[in-house]
Amino acid sequence: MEQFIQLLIYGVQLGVIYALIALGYTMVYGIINLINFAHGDFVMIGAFTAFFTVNLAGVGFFPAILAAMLFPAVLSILIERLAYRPLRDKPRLSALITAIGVSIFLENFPRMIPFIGPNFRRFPELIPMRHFYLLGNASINTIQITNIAASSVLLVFLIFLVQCTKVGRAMRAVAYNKDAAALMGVDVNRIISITFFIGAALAGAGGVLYSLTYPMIDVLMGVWLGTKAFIAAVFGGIGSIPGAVLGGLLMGIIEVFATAVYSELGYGSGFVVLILVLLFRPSGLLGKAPLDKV
Amino acid sequence: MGKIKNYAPVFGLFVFYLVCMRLRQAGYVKNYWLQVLMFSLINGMVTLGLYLINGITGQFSIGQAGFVSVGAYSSGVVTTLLFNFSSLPAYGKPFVFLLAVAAGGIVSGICGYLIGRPSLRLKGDYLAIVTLAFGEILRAIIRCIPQVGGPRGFTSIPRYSTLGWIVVFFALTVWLIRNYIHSSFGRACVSIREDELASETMGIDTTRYKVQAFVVGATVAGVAGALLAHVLGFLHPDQFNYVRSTDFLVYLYAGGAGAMSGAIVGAFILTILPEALRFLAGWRLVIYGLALVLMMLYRPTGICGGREFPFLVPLPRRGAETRAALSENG
Repeated sequence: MEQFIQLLIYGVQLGVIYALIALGYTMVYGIINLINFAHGDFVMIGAFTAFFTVNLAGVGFFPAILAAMLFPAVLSILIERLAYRPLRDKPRLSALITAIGVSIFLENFPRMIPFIGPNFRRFPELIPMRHFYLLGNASINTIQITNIAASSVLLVFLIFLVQCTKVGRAMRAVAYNKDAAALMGVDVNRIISITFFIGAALAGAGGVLYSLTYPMIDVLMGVWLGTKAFIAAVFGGIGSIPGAVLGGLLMGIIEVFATAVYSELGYGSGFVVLILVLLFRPSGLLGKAPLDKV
Repeated sequence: MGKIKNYAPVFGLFVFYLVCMRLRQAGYVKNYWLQVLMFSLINGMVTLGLYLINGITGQFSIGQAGFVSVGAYSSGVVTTLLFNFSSLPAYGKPFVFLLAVAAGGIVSGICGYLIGRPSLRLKGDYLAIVTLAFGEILRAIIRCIPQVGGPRGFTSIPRYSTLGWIVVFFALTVWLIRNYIHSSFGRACVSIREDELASETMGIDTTRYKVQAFVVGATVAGVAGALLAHVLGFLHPDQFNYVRSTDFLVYLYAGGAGAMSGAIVGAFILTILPEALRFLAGWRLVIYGLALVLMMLYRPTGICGGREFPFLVPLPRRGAETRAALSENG
């Protein structure tokens, strides 16, 4: 029981990070049907932004995570404008290949800049580590509390934004039907930019939270994190915001439990569950089944 | 006349092979470039398999590297664990090698069936994700099998593939795919790509043709993997991750997914390009990424843009109906 609770805490800690990253995938997919392969790299960019703001400006956790959300967000708007927007009316695969190209670029360009480089960097300790004992030997530490709290705050903010504001309503409208939304006076381009902005900001925050937990960062950290978050998004039902959260959490928990059983199992387990879900419920746990138009 | 024209590409490939070997003997071509050429041919084969699935049948598979790994590992098992390759007599080696390649193709094809059968019910992106997940699961499974090295990698596979073998298998693949596309199977696949519902109402068993194309694509990838294993002599599960799968996808779409030539040209150019840019060290991947984006922006149909090399289009069959159909369509 103690071990179960302990593993559950680790799982949730990892799961909320997956959830934050998965939200970006799901929102972008929901609005322009693009699997944004470059999304994982915003996680890495966020982590590095925090790394440099802390090391150069000597600020604490909150300014660092703010910077780590802003910089990738602005960058993602730029990328959307330059690389994805011209292809919006072309076949979807062109945009997909472009996204792969952007991702290759984003991984390799920082590698070649002398002050980033290909080596692992040690992420600064922003939160002093303390353990609290819950139940016997099961403990929760300050970093885990920070991760869960920060993600919850961001999540509540996101749900508020999507459900209760004018921008959020416009986003839902564009996701539902782009042309109709445009006819109703919604500036579709602006809404898509905002979606990219929010997605990348959440990914940046996810990057910082991940680096707090596993404090070694490098330019390729976004690749696996991105893949798993993407799988989590599909698992929960791509295009659905609660789905991404649920998928992320489940993915993190399953992965931690499988790793506890056998260390090589952890990586594959998430994918097995994904395939099972897709075979029996193709649109994911909370996704809506797409309608076939005849 | 038609007969000779039909065999011209085979002849051309043979001459190309002789020229390469001659140049190597004379010392103009280093073994390194010969190996790059072998990789291009192997990548070309895999991309052709992918072309059949993505380009012709209109499905979206991004797990091709998984099939390559199945082929590579199962052929490696045949040559190292089942037979002790290095202690075989010289006349036995080609047979065992062929057996290994066949095993690679067959096992990969079976895997293709097992995955394709349930998952081809899914469409578009979902299929893509299942194939991606499948590739990653395979990698996780390989890591758990100590007999093939697990996470340490599979070593001491005999390096038996030569350019000659690879050229032969490449030619066979091109021949197979070309004839497949222009057979009734291929036409069924094209109709599924254009409109699945309409082709189903026309009496085409869409699931069967989709699975069939998927299995053929997987088999080709498996054969390519078997050849690759015997070029490298060493396999590691991480060689076949999903980044590798997206490589094949990029070869196909950068070359132009509308034609076989696109698959071949894309695989060749994009295999050779990073090697040719090696003097730029790490910048080459930066340029590769940028080039990909720019190409998609300014030439979204790919390098070949849907045009086909003439020898990849079979001559019309000598039949009254065909000729009639041709003259009717002008």
